[in-house]
Amino acid sequence: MIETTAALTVNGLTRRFGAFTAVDQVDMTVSEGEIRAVIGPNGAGKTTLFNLLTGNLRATAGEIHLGGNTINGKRPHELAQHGLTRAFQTTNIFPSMTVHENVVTALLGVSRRTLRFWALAGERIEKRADEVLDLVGIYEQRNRQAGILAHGDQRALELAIALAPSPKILLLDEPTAGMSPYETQRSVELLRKIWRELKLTIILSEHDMDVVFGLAQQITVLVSGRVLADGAPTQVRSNPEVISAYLGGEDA
Amino acid sequence: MSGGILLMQVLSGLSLGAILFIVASGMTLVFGTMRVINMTHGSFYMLGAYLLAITFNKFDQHLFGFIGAFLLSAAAVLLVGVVVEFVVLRRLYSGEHLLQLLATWALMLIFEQLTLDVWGSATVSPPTPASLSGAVTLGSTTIPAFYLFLILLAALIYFALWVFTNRMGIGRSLMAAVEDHELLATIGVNVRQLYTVAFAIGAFLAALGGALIAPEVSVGPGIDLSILVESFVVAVVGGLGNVNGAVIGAIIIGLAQSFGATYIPNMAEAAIYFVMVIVLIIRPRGLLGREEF
Amino acid sequence: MQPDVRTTLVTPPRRTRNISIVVVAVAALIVLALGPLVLSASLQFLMLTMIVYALFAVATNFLVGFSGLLSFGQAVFFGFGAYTAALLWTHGVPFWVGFIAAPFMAALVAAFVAVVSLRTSRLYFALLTLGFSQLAYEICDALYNFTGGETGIPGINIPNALSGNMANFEFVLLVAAVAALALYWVRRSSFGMALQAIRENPTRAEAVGIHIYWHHVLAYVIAGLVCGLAGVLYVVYQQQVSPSLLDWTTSGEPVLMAVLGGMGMYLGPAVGSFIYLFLQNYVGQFTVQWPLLVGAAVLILVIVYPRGFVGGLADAFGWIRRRLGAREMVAGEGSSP
Repeated sequence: MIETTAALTVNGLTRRFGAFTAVDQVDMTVSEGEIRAVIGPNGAGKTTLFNLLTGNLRATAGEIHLGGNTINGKRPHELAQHGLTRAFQTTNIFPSMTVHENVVTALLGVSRRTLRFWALAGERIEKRADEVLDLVGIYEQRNRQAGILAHGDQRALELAIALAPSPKILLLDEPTAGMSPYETQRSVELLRKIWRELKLTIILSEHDMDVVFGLAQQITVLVSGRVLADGAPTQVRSNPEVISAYLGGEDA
Repeated sequence: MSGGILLMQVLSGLSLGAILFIVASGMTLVFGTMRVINMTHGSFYMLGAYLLAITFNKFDQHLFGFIGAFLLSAAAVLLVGVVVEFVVLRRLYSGEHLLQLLATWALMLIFEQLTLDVWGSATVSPPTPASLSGAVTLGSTTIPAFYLFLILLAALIYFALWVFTNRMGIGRSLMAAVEDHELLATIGVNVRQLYTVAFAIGAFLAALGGALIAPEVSVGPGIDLSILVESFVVAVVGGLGNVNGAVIGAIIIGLAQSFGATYIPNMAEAAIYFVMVIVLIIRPRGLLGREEF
Repeated sequence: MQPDVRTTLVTPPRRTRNISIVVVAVAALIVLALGPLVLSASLQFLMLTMIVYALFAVATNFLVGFSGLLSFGQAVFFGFGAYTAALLWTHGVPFWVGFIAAPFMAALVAAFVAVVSLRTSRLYFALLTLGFSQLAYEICDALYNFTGGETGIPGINIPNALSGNMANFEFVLLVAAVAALALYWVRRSSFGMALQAIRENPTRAEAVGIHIYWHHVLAYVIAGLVCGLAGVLYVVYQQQVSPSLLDWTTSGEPVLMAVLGGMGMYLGPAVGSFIYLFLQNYVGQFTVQWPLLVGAAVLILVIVYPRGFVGGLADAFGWIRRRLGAREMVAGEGSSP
């Protein structure tokens, strides 16, 4: 209560698709300001868990608390306004808008200004968008069409869109997927810098163990939809169950 | 109101519903499988009606002649449907829905004008086959035999569709497409072939409806549009992509037309749209509709 | 990563300030305004039709092209605006009251249609708008005591100040231009950006806090308002209304004009309206096969070149610019764009 307030708490979260249980009784507490990694083999339920947290899917059972509020059943646009945003696994931008307009749109959306059909975005928002672009390092690209950027820059834009509304919690679904080792390294540095400057809570799912152990302070291991282990990287790394179920099987 | 008149109204509504079901089930099948709104559906219906009017004159006014004529007409339109799918729609599946909509709309304009060029603006009315032009007496009421014939045939077609979609390989694939569009290609179904089959069946059913109703109405320009919108309404009320929904939608709309014509003759044409609006306010996706559409 | 082909098809990159387009638009407006000085009465009439339909098509494209809402029932609002104005004016309501009230009545109807039919998906929505347009037609037909049924309402009086040839023309042109400008403003507003965002990537738009349903409802209402205004302008120069205004083909025409002119450009549909009505007037005179020609043209356009006339022009200019740019690069002076 004094030092580590819970930013996000999940209790008994479950999602079934017909007979298949993708996420099974997951409990998780993410403290304010921590970087939490959710790892697990393919099909462990990471993406489903993320979709539940962002309101893209409805939970079959269980509860999600954000700050002091229960956010079950809230739609994605409402969660964005509660300070929870997301960068998607596949690049998910507005391809025919300029880079700058992409971020402006995100800012407008979360500040509920988009129903103002008489008002332009305004200088304050335009400036804020430029700051965010500067933060993720693609300011020079601001007037280019988003759809024609290089993959790495599109990922950075994806991040900028998620960061623009000044979220309290940022969800990153496989932030380095499809990147070269060099791009991966750059984006890890970028994430660390952003986390330090903005004092965010970050929850990320990731396959690349170097990224996970390089960034995360807490790790949740998901196997077949259940939490197998939960703790600091050193604990998780030495957990025999985790090694046999997951880490051992994947020598990259 | 006497029970006899009521029975008569119900049966007349059901016979209208029978035709609507036959036409709308084709449309709903095409939509469910291909996610295409087919504006050409009404044209297929119109072609079916005209072709029947021509071919039926070649036969005696015999029941078998009639059945032969309408099967022949519907089969001819089925071929037209296959050609349309091959030449036009295939090029547009990857594009936006709007382009598909516009293309089928353009085809509708073309068919309308071609029909006008070939058959002129005068209406034609093929005779009712002799053996169906009589009446059946039920208690104190006499009912046109043709009504009963239509209702019976619609039931037969429903049964055939059921067998096709539940018991036959390609029919099951069609239903799988309706269920989960994305999954289809990944489970190794030949999607292109499936689309052609769905579109052909759709055209066949539309033409069948047109051919069947031809003896009851005057066949002329404009019948394509009215049936198109009516079958849209039926499909929307029942739930798009759902054959059972088409049955329910057709019965409701058929009855609304039949009772509307008697009690609110002024508003009879508008009645079915009121029904549509009311259903949509209560159930936005139609009575049996599913989330995804 | 490839840009999304479907969206680049309709939308070229947005340029924040493009002076050349403004210059062309203003020049075109001036040329149009000179119309009554040089044109015969019948050509003036054709020109007025073009202007009114241009506004109608631009407003329709605000939904179909810009917001990605397939509305095939915009005639409802065009016709409703026209009929409301006609009925108000023939029942002694002052001109300006009717002129202002009618578009808002159309917007009210649009709000109802939108709230009911936008709860479903895009394709369902397309069917519903069609159903509503047919409903409007049937109601108009059924209320013949009030609406004149199939004959419509002839001989509507408008104030003397506006009934002169010149005044009538300039008034319609001015109102249409102001309305088009206002709609352009809406397109560039915060709301317009959100609409574009929803069309391009609905999942992303929701994730940044945009509520899709209400944005689409509002877009539909705004388009309904402008379509209604186009309908009122129709009455101002035609001084009669008929049920064909509510007809289903009247709903198809603005969509067709948009495709013909180019849905990706704001004024593309206006250009489409001019081309379409020009051809209809001149080619339509010589042949009864007009619908066949329209159908064939649309089919070819949709399959071969869906970006339309203005889209084609833009592509051609882009090509020339790229060639010039390449030459500069070779000369060693050019910097990357």
